[in-house]
Amino acid sequence: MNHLRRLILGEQGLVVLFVVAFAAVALLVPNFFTERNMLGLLQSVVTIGIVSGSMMLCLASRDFDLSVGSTVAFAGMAAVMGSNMTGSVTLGVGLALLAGLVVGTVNGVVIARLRINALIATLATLQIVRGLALIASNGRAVGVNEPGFYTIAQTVVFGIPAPVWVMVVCLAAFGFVLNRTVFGRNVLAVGGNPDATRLAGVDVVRTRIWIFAIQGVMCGIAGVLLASRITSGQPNAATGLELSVISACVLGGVSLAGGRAAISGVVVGVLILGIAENAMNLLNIQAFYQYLVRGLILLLAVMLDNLRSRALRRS
Amino acid sequence: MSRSSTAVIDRVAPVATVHGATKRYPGVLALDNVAFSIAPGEVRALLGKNGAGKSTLIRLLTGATEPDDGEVLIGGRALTGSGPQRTIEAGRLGVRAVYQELSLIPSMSIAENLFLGHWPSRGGVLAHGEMDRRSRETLGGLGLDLDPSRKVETLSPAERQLVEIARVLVGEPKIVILDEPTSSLAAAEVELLFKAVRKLAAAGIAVIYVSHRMAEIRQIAASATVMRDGKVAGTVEVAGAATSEIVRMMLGHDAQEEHLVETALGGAVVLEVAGLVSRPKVAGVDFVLRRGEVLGFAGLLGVGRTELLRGIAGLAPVQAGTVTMNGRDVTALPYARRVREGLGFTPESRKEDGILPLLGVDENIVAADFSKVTAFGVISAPRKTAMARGIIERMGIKTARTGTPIGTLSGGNQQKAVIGRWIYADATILLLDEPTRGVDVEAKLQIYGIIRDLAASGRSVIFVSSELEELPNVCDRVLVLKEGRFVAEFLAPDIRTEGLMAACL
Repeated sequence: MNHLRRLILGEQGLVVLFVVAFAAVALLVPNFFTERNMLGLLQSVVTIGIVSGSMMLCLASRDFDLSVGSTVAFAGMAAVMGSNMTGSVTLGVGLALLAGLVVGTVNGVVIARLRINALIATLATLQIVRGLALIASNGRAVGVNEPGFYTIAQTVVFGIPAPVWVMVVCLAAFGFVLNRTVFGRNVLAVGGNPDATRLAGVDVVRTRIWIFAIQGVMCGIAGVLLASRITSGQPNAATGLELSVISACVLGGVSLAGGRAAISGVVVGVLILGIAENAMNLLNIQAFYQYLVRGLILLLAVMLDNLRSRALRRS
Repeated sequence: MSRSSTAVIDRVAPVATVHGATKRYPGVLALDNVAFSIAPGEVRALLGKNGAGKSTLIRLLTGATEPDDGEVLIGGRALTGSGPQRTIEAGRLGVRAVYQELSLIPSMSIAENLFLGHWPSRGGVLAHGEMDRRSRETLGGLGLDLDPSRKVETLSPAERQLVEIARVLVGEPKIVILDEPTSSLAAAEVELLFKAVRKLAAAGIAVIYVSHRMAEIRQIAASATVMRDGKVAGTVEVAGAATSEIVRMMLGHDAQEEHLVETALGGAVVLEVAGLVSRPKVAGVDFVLRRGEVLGFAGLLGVGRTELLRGIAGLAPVQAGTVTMNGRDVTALPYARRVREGLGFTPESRKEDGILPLLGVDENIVAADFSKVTAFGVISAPRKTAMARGIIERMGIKTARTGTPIGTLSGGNQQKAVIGRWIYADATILLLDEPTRGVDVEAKLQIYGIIRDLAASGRSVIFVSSELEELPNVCDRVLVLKEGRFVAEFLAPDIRTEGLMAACL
């Protein structure tokens, strides 16, 4: 009993719980643990997964970004309209990444340089960017004219769709950045104690701007992949994505108070959200219940995290 | 300046110099044409009351602030940058500071904290092995046996302080500023710190040592610069200067040696604690507190003084024992009910737990009991102001208006307001946890006076302090806590710092 307790409340407790939950779902839900369903599951979490990596950095540095959903939609629009106008998919994708970079940098400058509260600043950009996406398309979905644009999401490498590869590479890259690079340590230090970090000679403002700029580019990538998968630029795409992404990070043990983050947790957080949705779909549970379940999972995860940090302090 | 210290500066090029520095903040002249200079390998004490300009001078040296007039030279080069660039520039020139507020990142390892902002890396990728090796060297050099991969959140406060000091040794420091480095250290750890400081000086590093503990200054510093009202009042050789002389320089007049305690014991028992256990620190404590008595709790850092107070107040879980207030067993009652029975508690961390910084002094005082200033749940502004004014006058709180946000007041005035809150609430038993921490000399004397007045008016006070020197000034009786129990009792007028120290160790 004591051993079990230590395992669950330990460093890798979340991973252990995830493996147990995964095994249970695989045994109990028919058609869950099949190659097709697994690939479908992974594809369904691509958008959340890609943005979660950069959101992890953002939360770890004690910041917050609500504008990711709008930015994904805006970048998707930019990709589709850009490819249609120029006839070049590459230019379209470039435009989408640039759009993401601009939104992210503006967020970063407003928050870090002008010292506007991140919650308010990104609440503003959430609406501004969504507005831009709607204005650009006059509120309608924009169809893709370039056949090359579809193929982005349809490409399969070693039996796994390209978007899934992109997600895996992004998450691995963020894990490396967080744990092994000076930038990643600066991010955690800023979140852990901004004043001490500034006094230690780290350019805190620049670090924070970089985090938001990277976040913007990741939204750009996610936007391109999403637009390619749904074969159109949808101004209303990815609504509410910010909540899913932040949920996934918090599920994965990223502290909203900053200074604490692990990529393994974020991966597990993303997968838990994906599995919950997938399993309920397979069981034909009405979509409305999914909100309920997702909320409960989040609440439980946070309470578990609370227990864990208290156990840590006692030892 | 005394002639001898000038001679030192003449011989060797100073590592840091401040010329004619003036700094104005809104409404305050923080520094007024200050000149300061320190030679390599010199250990200089820096003294002065709160607001004398010490912090601003330090901020000039670290580049955290630019002077309005004058210049700052480090190693012969003037600081030219502004904003964060200036801090980085000063850091590159070798200025390091250890601040009173701990500036470590709890969720990171010791090694990562040591190299905060200067992580060894190749092409942006961290060199973990090198970081670990150099951390061991640095910690070992200070005689610290700590695993560099341990997270800082698992360290004791004293260990954190030592890690903080180890941190300044990383890189090539030329001048190290220690701001009240011993305020959270126990005696044995102070010795460890002194060893480290001597090593720094021997390596040719200049050390500025901000402290008011004369005994420590005499052990560690050769010279002392005393500041007063934004100016340098003088720099003296420590060996040739009497403590009274230095105090006179700090205060600008003779400090009165007041013996405040006139013991009249034998009042009724108002608080009785029997067999109190609050794990893990408090292992069985018995005592009584009488009407009109000031009872001091002494003990080394981390011995459980705060835990004991919180146990008595009902703020910490108690596993065994009883607490009786005015003859009534309150062991099972929560804190809020004990407050209604006449208990008052001022926490050790005033800024975090004691004050509501953005609210006015008046709101902070009446917060203890709104019922006195409300009619049908609505706060009456005139009554609130009148009540608060009464307390402000009685406690001698210096504030422009009754509604001035308390966060803008000095530490001493904040503390007086926090104590005043309980006077207002008619508390008869006051538990004061480190009420003089971070408070200047003058305010300390005033707080002693307030405590004695409270006792004279029939209230009972438990006074906890880690500065043993102040217990004889205030207490009728002192109990010494060690390993979770009281091991010695001292009665006024036979309370002496040396005796207390001996009992604590």
